[in-house]
Amino acid sequence: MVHAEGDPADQHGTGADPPLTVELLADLQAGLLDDENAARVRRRIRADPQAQGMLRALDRVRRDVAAVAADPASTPEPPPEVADRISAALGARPASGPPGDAAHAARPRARPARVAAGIAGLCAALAGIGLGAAALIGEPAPMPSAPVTAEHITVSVPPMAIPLSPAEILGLVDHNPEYGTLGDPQRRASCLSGLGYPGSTPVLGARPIEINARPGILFVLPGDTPDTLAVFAVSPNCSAADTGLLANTTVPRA
Amino acid sequence: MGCGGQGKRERTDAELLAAHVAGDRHAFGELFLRHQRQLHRLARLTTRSPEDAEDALQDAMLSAHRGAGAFRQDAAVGSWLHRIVVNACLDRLRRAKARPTAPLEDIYPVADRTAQVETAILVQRALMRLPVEQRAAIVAVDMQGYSIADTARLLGVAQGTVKSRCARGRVRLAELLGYLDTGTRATSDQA
Repeated sequence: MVHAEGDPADQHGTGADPPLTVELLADLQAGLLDDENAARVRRRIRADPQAQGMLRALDRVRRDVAAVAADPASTPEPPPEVADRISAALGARPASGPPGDAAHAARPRARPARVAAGIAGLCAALAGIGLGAAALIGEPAPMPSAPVTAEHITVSVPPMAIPLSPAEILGLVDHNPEYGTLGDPQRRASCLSGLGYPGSTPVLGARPIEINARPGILFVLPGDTPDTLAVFAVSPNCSAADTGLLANTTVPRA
Repeated sequence: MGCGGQGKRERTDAELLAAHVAGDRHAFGELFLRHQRQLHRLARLTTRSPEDAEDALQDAMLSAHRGAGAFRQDAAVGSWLHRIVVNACLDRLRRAKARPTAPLEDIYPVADRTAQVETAILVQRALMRLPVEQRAAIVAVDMQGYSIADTARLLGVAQGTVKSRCARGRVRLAELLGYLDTGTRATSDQA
């Protein structure tokens, strides 16, 4: 067994057992003790009702913290100006589509509704696409509150097109990924997390790309189903907080 | 014009998000207002100051607004929004590691509630008394169910650091909430 330096239990590992303080029990609960020490502490807890009480108290803390998330009634009302400011910032954006000016997207702030004129046109266009698609699909029976699946959302209206053919995208899978500015695994993991993927998701293919003169990095990732690939073009500064998504699509695996 | 013309019945979160992706310019705002109380609380619990919370929440919502087309998780839309907010807050903490913790204010002046709500309010108050690093780790791990590895990555710290912050924070919460008072308590003094 490796005894890591600074391990809280190891300071006492060779001599008498350390007292079962609440701190030691919290270390055990958090997984900070190595297997050997954890086993020893657990053995001692079984014979120590006081320690059992402290461990129950720590468990109760975790349960109560988890319960907060599920308890909307205890949620305080945020200052109204917060919602107003954010609503205004959201309202100044087109409903969907390219993230405005990508260079500004890194530090979004409430902006005047200077895109209002464009929005009307965009909405009309999108509505037209929606109506056209609906007409083509036919008239399925109405399905009240049918969940909208990820596929539906993903393929509805891509913000901007990825300028590669499915064959070219599949070709990326066979080559070493070129991550460009996202070469650092931590940054990449953060970006993946922002896209809704676990940070450990294998990137099947990648390369720098330009869409409508905006630089980006193209990621090929496992799709929602085994026979598809998900393709994302993200900002070179992509992070968990802001992916700067330029476009996305899905392609069938070869 | 088709924008916003989908009728007045209450739309589900998923319907609102789909409408947003399809071009309904009011849909995302409606989605935000529906969840804003909880999202704001989450941001406040996971950031250093009210100003940081507001900024993180705005960044997160603009990011979600832009990235809605990529939403692909099995999780509900609400969970997705929660996750984006936590990510934004942790990212903010990661980028501003060295700053001292700001003084805390009590943001939960709620009265006349059930015992369960009372407990939740007490827990939130106690959380707000923790250093932000411990608070963020506990919110991510215990409240939002993040893995230690994910939390560590988002905060840019080692996994052992996240575990240690959780451990210290839980002890402090147990003290603040009086859960250790029932028995004689063996402990070393701590802040």
